[in-house]
Amino acid sequence: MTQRAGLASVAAVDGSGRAQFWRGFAAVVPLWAGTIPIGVAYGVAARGAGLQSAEAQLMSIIVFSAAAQVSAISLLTSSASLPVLLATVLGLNLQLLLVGLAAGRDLRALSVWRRLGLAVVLTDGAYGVSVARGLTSPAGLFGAGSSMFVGWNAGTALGVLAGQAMPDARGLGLDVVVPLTFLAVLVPLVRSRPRLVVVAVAAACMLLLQRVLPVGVAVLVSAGLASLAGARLAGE
Amino acid sequence: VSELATVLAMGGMAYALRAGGLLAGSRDLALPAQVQRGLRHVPLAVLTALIVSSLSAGPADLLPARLLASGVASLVIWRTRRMWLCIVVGLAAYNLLRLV
Repeated sequence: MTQRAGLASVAAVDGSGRAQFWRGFAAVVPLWAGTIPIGVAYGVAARGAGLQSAEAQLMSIIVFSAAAQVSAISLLTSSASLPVLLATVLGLNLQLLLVGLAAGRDLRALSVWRRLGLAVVLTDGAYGVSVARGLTSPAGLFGAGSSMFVGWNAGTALGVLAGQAMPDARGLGLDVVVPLTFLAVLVPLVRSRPRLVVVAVAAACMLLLQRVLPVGVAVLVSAGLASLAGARLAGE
Repeated sequence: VSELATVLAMGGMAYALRAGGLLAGSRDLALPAQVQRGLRHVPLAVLTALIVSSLSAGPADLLPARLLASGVASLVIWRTRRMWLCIVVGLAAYNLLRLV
């Protein structure tokens, strides 16, 4: 807590917002090694699912969330309804709300308009990196978020182009890109026993429920049950 | 609902979450610890459910190949933490297994 207050005051004294922005931007560039390939995978999958190139790119600009976008692709191909799709986006991005709450506490002095601007590029990855590097000023966080945004959209553009160049995606086994992309995001997150339990419960529920419920609804119910299990376990 | 409308609605939802947190964060709004713990697990749980559904969705005769390829890819990401390597190796394994 004291460290956080210290960082905030340092940022307030150091008025050079532009330098902070570029330090934040540079701090996230190494993460592009993970961001761009996932962006490419998403772009290819989006084209494979029949989404227009412009729609696939627009999604990367305004949704800006790997998990939500790849899940949207997989749910669109199984023709899930809009409310179910939105609920999935909500479920996958709840951490953004928590990150926003944490960042918002650091940035008390920031005006409402600047908060709304910062929100465009806010991600948990960018927040994590900027806190780790001591760049909790608005400009530093904005730079980190912008960097992630650039990497993600560049990856998407490459993927969309690659998807256009490949006429028949099915022959290349690209149906497996969606689960692989999820796995690449999921596996590094499983770092503790409660998290392993969440994964096990969610998988077991999904295996049962997807036989009797529409896919999207089954995803939401399974995720809800597994999260409850995780919360109870961590509380002990 | 058109695809464009779907994309716009998703964007609105994502932005509302980002902006909502940033705006509310200026006040001291503390969620109960139990709720926070539950929320923290939601993305992990949703991802898991989506992996199960997307693995089940492809051609049924290739399910064993998809599972094996996913297993190999999981090992790769677990050991190397390289996302691109996970996807490339998984895709290569799947295509090899399909030929067998």
